[in-house]
Amino acid sequence: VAAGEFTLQLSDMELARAAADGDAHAFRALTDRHIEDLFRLALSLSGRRADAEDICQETLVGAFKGVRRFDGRSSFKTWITRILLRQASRTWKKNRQRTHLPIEAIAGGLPAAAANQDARLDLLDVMKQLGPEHQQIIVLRELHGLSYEEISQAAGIPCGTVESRLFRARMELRKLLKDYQT
Amino acid sequence: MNACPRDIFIGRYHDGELDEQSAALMQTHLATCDACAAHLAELRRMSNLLIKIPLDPMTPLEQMRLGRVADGLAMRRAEPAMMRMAMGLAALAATLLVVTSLWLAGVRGGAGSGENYQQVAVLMPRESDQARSSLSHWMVRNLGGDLP
Repeated sequence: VAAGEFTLQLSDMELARAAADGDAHAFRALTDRHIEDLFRLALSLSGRRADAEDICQETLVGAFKGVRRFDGRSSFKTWITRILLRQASRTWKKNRQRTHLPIEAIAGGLPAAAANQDARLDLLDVMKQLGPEHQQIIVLRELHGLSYEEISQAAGIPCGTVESRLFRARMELRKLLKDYQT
Repeated sequence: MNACPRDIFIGRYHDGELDEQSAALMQTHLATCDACAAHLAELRRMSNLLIKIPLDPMTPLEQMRLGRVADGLAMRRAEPAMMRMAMGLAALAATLLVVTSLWLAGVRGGAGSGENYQQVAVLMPRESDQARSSLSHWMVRNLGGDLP
């Protein structure tokens, strides 16, 4: 308990350094601090709770292996989001190879109004038709409200590319939504 | 997308990525350009639609499983350090055991136990020789009386 209280007072950078030195409490504290956001992002990218959990697991493994290389040039959240995006892309490619991709409700069995559930399914269905880069940028900007700078750091692309990719993604999404509604 | 050259800035304006001055200029432009105003309205509609996708929180079970993953990873790093420490302690204990054994052997053997064994080995034949000669004297003395 004392270790938990102590780690609460530390910044992400301090916890990352402690985790790199083998402090088990520090890595757990970092995980607890960010896992909720990471899970939501993974869920909005994959659309399936099981995939989201797998993505988060792989992200934790990647973060653990690379925490010694974390230099604080970006925030820890941006750094770990970058790892998650790479994992999500891998999952997307893996899922694309499946002959049948079941569209699972994002709420994953949690009680929700049927109408809302249908709306979720529809939007997810449309989102899944976007390419991975377009889906990713729409999710980061529209669902998670990241700034261009944050997207740039997380996706590892220049700010100009963020803008142009977002523009193209919105064009594609607009077309899909129009096709879907007609 | 429209023919207006300022259309490319609509996305940035919508996302709040324009600086204050550029945003003010865009606002003025939007009041006079129907095409850009229509594009902006479309972006807003799309954003309002997407924001309705609720991102449900993690269930306690999911939270617990991912917490276990984090703990497992952290322990994996801690284990080699503990193993190294345990091995170091074991090596130290083994060294102490060997040194102590040698020292004890030295203390016991300090009186010259080796020499004693040597003496016994040398003395034994002498004693047996003495015994043998005393037996022969006894035989001569006591049994040889009747001899011519």
